[in-house]
Amino acid sequence: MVLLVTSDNEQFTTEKDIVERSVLIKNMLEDVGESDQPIPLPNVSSSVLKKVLEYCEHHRGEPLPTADSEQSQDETRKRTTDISEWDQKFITVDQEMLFEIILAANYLDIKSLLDVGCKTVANMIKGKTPEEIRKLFNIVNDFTPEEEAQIKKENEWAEDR
Amino acid sequence: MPLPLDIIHEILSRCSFQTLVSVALVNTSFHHEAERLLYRKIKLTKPMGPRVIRCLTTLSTIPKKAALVQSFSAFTYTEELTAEQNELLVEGLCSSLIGMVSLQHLWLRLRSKSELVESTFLRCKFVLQTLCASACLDVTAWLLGQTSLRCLGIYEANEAPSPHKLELYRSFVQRTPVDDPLVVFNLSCANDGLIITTFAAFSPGPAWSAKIIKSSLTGVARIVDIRHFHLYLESLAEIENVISSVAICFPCVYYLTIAVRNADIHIYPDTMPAVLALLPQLEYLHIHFWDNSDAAAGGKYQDYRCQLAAAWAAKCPKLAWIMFPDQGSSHLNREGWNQVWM
Repeated sequence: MVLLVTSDNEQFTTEKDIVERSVLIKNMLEDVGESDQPIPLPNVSSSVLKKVLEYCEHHRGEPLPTADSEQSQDETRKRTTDISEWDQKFITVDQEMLFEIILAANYLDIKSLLDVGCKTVANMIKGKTPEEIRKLFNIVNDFTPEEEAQIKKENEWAEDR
Repeated sequence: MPLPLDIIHEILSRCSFQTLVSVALVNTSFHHEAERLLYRKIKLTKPMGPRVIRCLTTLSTIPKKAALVQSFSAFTYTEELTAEQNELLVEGLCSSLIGMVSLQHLWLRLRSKSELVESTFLRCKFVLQTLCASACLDVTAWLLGQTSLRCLGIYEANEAPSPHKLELYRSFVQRTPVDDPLVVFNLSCANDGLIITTFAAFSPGPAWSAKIIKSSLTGVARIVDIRHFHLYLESLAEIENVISSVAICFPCVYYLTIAVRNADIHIYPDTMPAVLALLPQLEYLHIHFWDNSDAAAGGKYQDYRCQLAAAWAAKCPKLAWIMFPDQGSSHLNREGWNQVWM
């Protein structure tokens, strides 16, 4: 069993093969060897870690992506927004939690979870206008109308790609 | 909650190009990330459409955007273009290429020879890993200075390479590292599919791979259409590694031509059956020598032609026709392998 400690000091005890879906934790465990020492996760809160562990438990035993498979998947994976039914249900959370899960997946190095999170956000911005995307990410427009018109003209060729 | 730029990049790399066009208008940070993805890989395959003109105008007038391009395909080959349109297209193309300082992979299919394109290559600062271009384009002067090129493909190369061309290819390959050599191939058409001609002889050993040819054909030709494969080898001793790689990448090959320099083709009875078995669709095998003259076509194989054919085809269920350098061939019928003169 592995003991994890979150940023809000909550402790989680979990099985090694579940938590080893995180490359970060897997490497840490390999470095320290057999030990009862808790693993601190200062960048992950308890509510987020609970979700992350739920994901890892569901996908336990599945092969981890290798560098080769990542590369060969790259082009198809990048342009598709297909998400499995379970993952879709799992990732149906409010936007703040979604972003927290993405950040945690990135920090813990869980590529498949990062992929699900990023695809979900990609789906959210699909077909949206620049203004709607700004609202979604809470961003202020720093372009002048002239700059906007110029960018639009320059990238016009890419619209019917 | 703000997301860091590397995460934004991950998200945007899963967006369609239409979405990226919108994202580029959101704010400065999103603009940079979206355009890095929009301009990274550009394919212009519909010649002279408004999209092509707009794209080339942007690339040739804004070097900052041209500098983002890492992979560029332009297939301007069409009879529909007027001479004037073709000239405009080539001019736009050349101005764009000059700005593409980060370009690594280039596919160029031109309608006709263009001295402007050829001289533009010498002015470009890009360091290519892949160049696939029409045979009408002569960029030999530029190629002689390249050491990073790993794949050189030549389209519409319908004639067998001359001894001069072969020497040139050899010199290109020998400028590249032994463990990661340049792979040169020609792509041409046959009545029943496409022909790949490649020169494994210039980079012998396990480093030669057909994988790079396969990946350079993405978007250019379908793998199922590659039915003919023409290999240049020093001797049949090199065949194992080469055919293994060809069989994995091009499983539909049914016509294999092997050009060997070493005339001793009769001494590999054990290797050949196992190697040819890797090509389950193979029906025709043609072996000839680099020196194609009648005087050079003879050899010890002439005494064993039918035995060799039977041995080579032992594990290759469809192989029924083997042609030898002297134009004598062995054909499989009900009685076994018979000798036929062409």
